[in-house]
Amino acid sequence: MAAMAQPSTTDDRVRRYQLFINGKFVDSQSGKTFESISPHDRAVVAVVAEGDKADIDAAVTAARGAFEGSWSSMPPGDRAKLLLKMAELIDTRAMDLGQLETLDMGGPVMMTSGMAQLAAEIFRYWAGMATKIHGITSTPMSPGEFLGYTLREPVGVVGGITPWNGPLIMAAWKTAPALACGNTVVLKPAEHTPMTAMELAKIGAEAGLPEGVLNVVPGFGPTAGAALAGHPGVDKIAFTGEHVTGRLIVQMSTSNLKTVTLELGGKSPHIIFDDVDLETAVAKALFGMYTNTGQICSAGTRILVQDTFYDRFVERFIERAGQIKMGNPLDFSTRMGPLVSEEQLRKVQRYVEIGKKEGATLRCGGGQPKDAELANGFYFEPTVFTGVDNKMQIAQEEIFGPVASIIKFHDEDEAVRIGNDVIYGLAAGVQTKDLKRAHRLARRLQAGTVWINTWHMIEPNSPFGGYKLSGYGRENGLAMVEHLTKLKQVWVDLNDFTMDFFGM
Amino acid sequence: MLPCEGLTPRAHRLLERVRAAVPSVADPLAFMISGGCCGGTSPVLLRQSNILAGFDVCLGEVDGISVYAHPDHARYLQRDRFVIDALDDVRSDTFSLEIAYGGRFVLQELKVDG
Repeated sequence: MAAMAQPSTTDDRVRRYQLFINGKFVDSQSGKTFESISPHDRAVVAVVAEGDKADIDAAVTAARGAFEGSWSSMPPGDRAKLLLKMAELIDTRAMDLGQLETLDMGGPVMMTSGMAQLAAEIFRYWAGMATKIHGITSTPMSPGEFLGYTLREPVGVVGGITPWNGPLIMAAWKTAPALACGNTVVLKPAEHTPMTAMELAKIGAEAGLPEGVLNVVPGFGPTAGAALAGHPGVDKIAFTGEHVTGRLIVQMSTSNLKTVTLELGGKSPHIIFDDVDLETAVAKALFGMYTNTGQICSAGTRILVQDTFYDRFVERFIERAGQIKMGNPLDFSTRMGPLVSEEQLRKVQRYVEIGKKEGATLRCGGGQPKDAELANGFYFEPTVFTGVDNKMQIAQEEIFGPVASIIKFHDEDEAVRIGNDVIYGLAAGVQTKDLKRAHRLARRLQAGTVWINTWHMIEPNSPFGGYKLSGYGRENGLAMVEHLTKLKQVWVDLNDFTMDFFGM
Repeated sequence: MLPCEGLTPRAHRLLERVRAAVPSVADPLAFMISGGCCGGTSPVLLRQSNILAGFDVCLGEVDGISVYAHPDHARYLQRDRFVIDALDDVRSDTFSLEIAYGGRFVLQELKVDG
């Protein structure tokens, strides 16, 4: 078995990772590496091989060979066993994987270890799906004895390009479904957070995935990511990220007309009516907003509160936001860690400036914490703007940080109008005790997911994706099988006579 | 007044590194302001051929390079005033061309009276 994750000889806290191509851990062809740093204190936590076009070429060749070799024709039950084995290994190591993710990304380990368990569930769900992918039979519409049936076949080589905000979950979303459907995979993890994707490669190797079935090539967007997106040997790209990159990927897909699915962010409205319990409403709004320091594409960052409830809600929300336990994310009691990077910190700081300039009222946070222990990290306080007009930039653009915009609305129609008045459509949510109203809003809100009296429910069996500039295609659930397979129609003549068209 | 008012010296230096390394005569460089998810609102350095003529909105020109945004995004950015700055020794997501050269362009807000 290939070795990896060998501690450095100079500093055993620095992990070293190679690329995983064709079942082997290898250096990049250029010999280049890059460092991954901890957002808590900027310490180097890993030195990682930097893949580029040459390595992507090798990975795609390996994936093509594996696809045409054993993988696509392997009995689905055997593929299911391998995926179940991967799930078991992920589960066994959930705490370790959570810690690695926390070192890389800064999310609290209490959350990242839970997300590792969810990654195992994703593999279990898709292991089950592997044996349930099949076509249908059809009855001919016109006279005559014919049998029609469809075959659902894998698309081939699937490229996955993942973001940094949930590295292991994203790697699981991009790999487990593709493998279950009989495809092979080249995964390009986000450069900020390559560690858990490399651990997934190790787990795949340990579980016994054949060589070339799963390849993981960390590297940078313009070199590795673009090489994958534009590669004529790749049949499908699944991308999570921002919308200009999404559009570039679509442009690059034209070389071989590969299919693309895109998940591109959001600015989700969390609509809170006055008939709900105050403490519950605030707790749910905090959870929707500040989980993962607000770095979740489906975070409830526009909090729309009914005017009759607004003052009470705002007062309590600010009080609770200011009490969120921020600190070293490796501490199990921490609920909010740092932002992922200096770049992200700069973006969040810029939006706080914009919010002030636009005339919103900064009621909480707005800067980096004073705590000396956190001074070297990318920490930013839970921040609340009130009196926000939905036309403001802070209400329209995805900040991807702990900055809430609280917006007042009068009635259901106004809530829908404000909720939908944004370029994105990833998620939306409603808190109300009125069932009829809740379900009316579920229909009227333009979003790929609507949460009623909850937030961040994302399960392996439920489709996730966007409306509008949040992209297209769905991940998770049966809907994803459509993206990862091709449909072939087969016709069989059952008639005893021959219709001799040219003999008539 | 166009919202994008220029490059900081650090951004200029990064841009010069990219210009020295990548050919840009046949297909000039262009900036497009991205949005959403982990890439967030940042200048993405790409090629003029990636811009949709007649659709994307020009927000200004810096150092001979046009800055664009998607029209729905531009509606909000047009009220803004910013310069393009750079972080050195920082890498990032997105396909922005400068990432391979050791830096990352970011937006820097101009103060109200600045």
